[in-house]
Amino acid sequence: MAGSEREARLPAGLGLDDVASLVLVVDRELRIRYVNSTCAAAGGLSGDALVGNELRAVLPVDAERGAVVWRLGELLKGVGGEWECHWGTDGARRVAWSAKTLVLGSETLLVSAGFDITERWDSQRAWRESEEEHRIVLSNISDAVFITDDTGDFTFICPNVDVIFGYSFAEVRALGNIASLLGNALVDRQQLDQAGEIQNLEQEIRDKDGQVHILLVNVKRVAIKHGTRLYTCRDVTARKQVEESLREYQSRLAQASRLSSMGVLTSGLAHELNQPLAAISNFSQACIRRIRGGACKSEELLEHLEQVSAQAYRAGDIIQRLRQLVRTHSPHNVVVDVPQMVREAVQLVELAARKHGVAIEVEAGDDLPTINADSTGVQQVLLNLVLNALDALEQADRDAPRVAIRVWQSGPKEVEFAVADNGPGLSAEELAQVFDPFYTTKSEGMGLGLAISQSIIERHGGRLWATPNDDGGVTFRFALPTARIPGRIGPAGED
Amino acid sequence: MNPEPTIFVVDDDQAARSSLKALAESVGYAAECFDSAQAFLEAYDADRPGCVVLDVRMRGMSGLELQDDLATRGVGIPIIFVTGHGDIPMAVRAMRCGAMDFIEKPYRDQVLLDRIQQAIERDASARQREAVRSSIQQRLETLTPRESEVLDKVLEGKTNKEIAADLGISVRAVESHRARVMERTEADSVAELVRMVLTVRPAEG
Repeated sequence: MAGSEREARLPAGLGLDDVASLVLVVDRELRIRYVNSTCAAAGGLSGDALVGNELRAVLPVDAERGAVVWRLGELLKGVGGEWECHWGTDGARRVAWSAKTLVLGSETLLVSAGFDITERWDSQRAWRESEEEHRIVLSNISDAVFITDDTGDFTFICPNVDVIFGYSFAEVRALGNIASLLGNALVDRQQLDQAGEIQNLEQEIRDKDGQVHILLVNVKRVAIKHGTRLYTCRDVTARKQVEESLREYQSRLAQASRLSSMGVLTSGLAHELNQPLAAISNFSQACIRRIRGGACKSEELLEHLEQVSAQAYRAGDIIQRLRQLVRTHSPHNVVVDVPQMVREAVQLVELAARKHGVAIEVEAGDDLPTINADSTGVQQVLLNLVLNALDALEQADRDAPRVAIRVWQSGPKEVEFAVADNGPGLSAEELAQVFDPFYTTKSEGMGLGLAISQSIIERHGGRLWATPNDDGGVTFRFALPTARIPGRIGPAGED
Repeated sequence: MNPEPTIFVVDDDQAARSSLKALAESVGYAAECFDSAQAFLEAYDADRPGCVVLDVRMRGMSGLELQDDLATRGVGIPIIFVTGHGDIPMAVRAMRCGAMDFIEKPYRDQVLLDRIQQAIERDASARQREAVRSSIQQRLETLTPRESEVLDKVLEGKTNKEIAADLGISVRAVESHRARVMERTEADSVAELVRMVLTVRPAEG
């Protein structure tokens, strides 16, 4: 009811029009009773249009309006206080008011003096918005972020700290120091000072419930207010568990394959050893029976006994070779001159090759880098491969039989050896089995040579494999790492 | 037909072969060695009696494959398997296919010799049965169709009169055919005649 008779009519020219402050007077019903010209102008309004209107209708429509109205009601009950609101037709201005209640006759009025704080407000809003942005980002990433000073006292705690640590923001703030979350002595101060950042520190922590988490912690030097260290903690427990179970699975797999190759080995071993043992038993029983029967010729007995002896040696030989196969200790590795080693090995087989009418070709340049190897072991492998090739060529009975040994640098840190023959070759099925212990295609063979060779090469960190040749034969290859400290560097050895 | 039984040793291991041969010969058997299943198949004459001592694991055709092959060809010579390292499925398969035994190395020589002895006896009696069977078969095959008909009726237990009526011939003619049947089969009695026919056609009934 604007202009009611009982109300004191405040003079329009209260003498406050020229002051810098905005002046606003409302009554108990929050009707505007007076505005000075500064106040009206700030809102882009005329004083006449404002006076008599309810303040609610004048305040810009925003989320704050209800709270402002309620606040003024509260202030009217007391002696006054501070309040803020948006002002003007478009609510573009921000005004901070200082209010006092004024009892005038029967009426209680609230007299507010305001300052236009729009500029400060806008800059604060931009800051608050970016603050909110950071808060939302930090609450929604799974990493926990802290800033501390050099003693570890928190200067910033991310709001989502509970995700990893189980403690609420407030609880962590109460803990006060990062040591209570991550433990002491996580960061080497000197290292941090030098590097500026320490990455991927792995730390096992217990959360509020006592659950163990594995964290990857990054610490970075910063300078934000009092904060000097930025901690970023990532929970890698699940990943670690996956890795762990993967490792476990792999080790079980390796064990299974070891067991299965043990099975192959023992089965083969039983067969191989039983052959000579059964032969020994048969031959000696034959002798016994003939002697008992009284009708024996000594040549016949002699022949049998020679066989007994030969078979006993055969059994011993199997055991000897088996011991070589399972030998696991690493023999003494030395820096080896490759061409020299190959020449020595070839010398040992040259006679046998000549006897078979087989030509041995060697291609191993003096410029090859040295290798770090057990020279005797590698020579044994070469000999074995060449002797196998000679056997294969003997079975083949072909024109111009030859064995080619070739050594070349196959990679920056690798020397490859190849022993090729032009014999009958091996079927895909045979190629797949040649390295199995006791597998042999030879009537006299024991099937251990390649298995032993394989284990020698593997001890050197290399591997031995076989490929068929275009001309029908087989090439066995193995690669060995070059010496870490080269004894001699040839042109091909520079990398 | 060679009446002397022979031990056929099939093993790709030279020492195993020759030692088995030596053992067999030391107790008076004749023995022959083959270094592969193929070599044995090529050389073996099914009429030769004896038994096969066979290694399970051999390069090329395995012992079990040789057993299958012999069975397919209808060769019934007994087989004793010896193996350096056998397993149960192998043994089960070998025995199910009619092997005499499946002996694992190392074995007592006496065990092997006993089994060889049994195998040779089994082979001999099988061959004996086969000889009798084929002799009866040959004799039955000399009968004329009419005589065969009369034989069938006799086996059904019919009297000469009934046979004569069935075949529409005289009783005298039946008697004559019947006498020829007895003569040609060399049977002394009807009972023996029945036994002989059952030997050749055991499944009948």
